[in-house]
Amino acid sequence: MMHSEAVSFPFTKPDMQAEATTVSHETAARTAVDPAAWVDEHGDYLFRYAVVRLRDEAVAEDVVQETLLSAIQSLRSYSGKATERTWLTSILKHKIVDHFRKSVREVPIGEEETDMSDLDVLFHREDQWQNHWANAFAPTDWNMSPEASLERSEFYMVLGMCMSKMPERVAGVFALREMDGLDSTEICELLSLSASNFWVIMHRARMLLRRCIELNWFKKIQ
Amino acid sequence: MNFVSRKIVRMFNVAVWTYLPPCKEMVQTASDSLDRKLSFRERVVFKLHLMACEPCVRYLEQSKLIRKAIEEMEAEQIANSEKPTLSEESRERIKQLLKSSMGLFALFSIF
Repeated sequence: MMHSEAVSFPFTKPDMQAEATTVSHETAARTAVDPAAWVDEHGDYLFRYAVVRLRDEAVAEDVVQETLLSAIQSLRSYSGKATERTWLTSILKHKIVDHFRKSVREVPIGEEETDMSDLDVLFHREDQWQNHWANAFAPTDWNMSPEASLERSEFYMVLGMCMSKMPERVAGVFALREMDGLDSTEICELLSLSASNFWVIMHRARMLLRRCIELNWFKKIQ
Repeated sequence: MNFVSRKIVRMFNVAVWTYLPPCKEMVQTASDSLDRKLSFRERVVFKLHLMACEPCVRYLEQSKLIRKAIEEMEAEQIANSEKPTLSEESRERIKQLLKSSMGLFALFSIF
């Protein structure tokens, strides 16, 4: 790019905002912005965040790049109140939601994701208590000691592994709720999902996740 | 006396298991309770069921634990772990891209 040589970094906000009278000059003057340094300081953090959410390193990389590019464009709206990382993370979250919305628009969430019949076996009993927990599948006592940090980081590993094993779109809805903190109305609107399908998908995600953790962690340490 | 109270508990449990919805429906309610406010009726039925059903109590507790763990994982694991990282190439590519679009952006904001 021809002009890139002419611009010196770090680039300071006041130059760009010479005409923007709404921004106070004291705060703006203290904020030197160097987008290239974002890559070194926050790149890996944003990348890891995106990998956890999108489960694909190539896609995650694209989204991080998109995030930083759109951060440049919205520098004006960055008040400097939040830390740089928090600000960038919030842009990243939006990009991830956008990505997910696009993929759902291609193939709407439907029967496959809301079919609970594979979980019937957990409630299959021969006695009169049909539809109550089957003995072999009833949740066991995890007997967790949350203080033990080694145990905790191992728990995160199993949790991460189990989340990546969930059907992709079930995991997607679950993460919009649990990681991005959207509420049910926002998610249903975003994905054109009916409320009842949303409740079923969340339930399905929790059943699969809990079962997977029980099998892979708690059974192992016994 | 102990025998009598155990008998009463057993009768209560059997009544709950027989006349109220089974675990299969109650686990859906357990999940719902984490995402929305239950109606009064749902709350009463759910509470009664939990009084009679140890596995469903565990199910609810573990679902809450998973929620908490995801929250902590997001903060701890992502900030402190070493992997995965951006490759050196992509790092350079993104930097170059940022520099050029920053230049372009600066150029536009002058005019």
